[in-house]
Amino acid sequence: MSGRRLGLRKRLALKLFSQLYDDTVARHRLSTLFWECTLRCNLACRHCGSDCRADVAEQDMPLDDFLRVLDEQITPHVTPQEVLVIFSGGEVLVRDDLERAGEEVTRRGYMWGMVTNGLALTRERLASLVAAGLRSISVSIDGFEPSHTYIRRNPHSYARAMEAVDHILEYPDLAYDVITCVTPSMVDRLEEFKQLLIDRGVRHWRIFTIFPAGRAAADSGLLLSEEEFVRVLEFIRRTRREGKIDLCYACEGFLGGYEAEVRDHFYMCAAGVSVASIRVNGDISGCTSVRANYTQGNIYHDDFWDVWQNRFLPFRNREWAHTGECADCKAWQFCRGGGMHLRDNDGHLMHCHYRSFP
Amino acid sequence: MKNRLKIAAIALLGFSTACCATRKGVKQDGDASSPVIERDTVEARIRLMYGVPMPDGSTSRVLSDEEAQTDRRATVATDNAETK
Repeated sequence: MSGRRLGLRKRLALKLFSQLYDDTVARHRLSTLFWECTLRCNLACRHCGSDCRADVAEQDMPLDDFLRVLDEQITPHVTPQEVLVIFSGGEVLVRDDLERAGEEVTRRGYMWGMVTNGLALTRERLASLVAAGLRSISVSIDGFEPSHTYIRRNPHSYARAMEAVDHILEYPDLAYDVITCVTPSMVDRLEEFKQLLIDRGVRHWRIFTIFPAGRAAADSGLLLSEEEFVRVLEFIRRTRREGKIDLCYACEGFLGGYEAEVRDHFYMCAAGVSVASIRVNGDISGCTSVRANYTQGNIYHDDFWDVWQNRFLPFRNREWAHTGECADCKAWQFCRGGGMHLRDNDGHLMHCHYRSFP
Repeated sequence: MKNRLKIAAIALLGFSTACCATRKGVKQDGDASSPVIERDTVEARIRLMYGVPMPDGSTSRVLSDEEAQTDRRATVATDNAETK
């Protein structure tokens, strides 16, 4: 089954899974905490979902401010070993106290990881990060050099990102994946690129696509047609069956008949359910990919744990989203209105993969 | 229906890898008889848009005997479903 068609077996499984999801929401056990430690970046990518620039007005959050919240408002309520802290940006490598941050987080028992564009990830920098307790890392490589450079807009970014991957592969205990934003120029070359990654030694790969909203809506070089999007999902499904490389589609959105075939799990939006973020200005929200204003509090005047326990209602009860095109959708019971990052400030759904299937 | 039954039912429907799963593991000190089970949850598997993969074994913890027994039953149910 694919596209909008759901077989009986999958429908039954999804129904049971949605009941499990309700239980997960009720428990809302914090398992991932993003710390948006900077909005500065050494690139200016076309598709960037963050509000990052080289000369951002927003100052980096002082490490001590984050550690205060961790020590006083989070650690007393969680088992640190079961929570993954993700340093997020901007480009986190522009912070020169990243190693100290990693050491402090590790000393408190938390695992930590980071996403990078790889431009500044030298062998030496990676060694110092691993020494500071780095457990997981993701590097963005958006296909072959022309496609990557179109997005990243820096002639050195492709070579540096590839070198970064080579450095990462020198650490067998380090969890990692390569993240690829698939654009139209890459759709026909995915098989070729897969082989390049495999030959390079990469075994974990994640693909995402850009939905038509904001800056991306006007950029035909970024957006896939509906037919191209289906081809990407078919490629992922085929590759997963082949088993040569661990490939998945990112968490974004309910995928109908492709559910459980292009990811390791059924779709669920974990934002505000098991994932929280502390933004660079102190705002408390769900995933950092949620760019619309669903801020639930701020660490400079609210208690993080009180916010986590008692607010986050828009994330945990999505009935408010059961309107518009979702109102009569048969998939509502499984998708609950899609990912929170697909909603704009007014709550409108900016894009629905399921509805866009032919 | 209890959650473990739902998980088992999903496994019986052929989607054991797409939902919560449990698998037996051993402690890092190599004591294979220790009642340690790596708990692999859906939350741990989701690769968030700006996230990173969950480090291996990161969600493992020592379970009580009762929890371990329940998990073993779920594992057996899952394994049986997968071999069908």
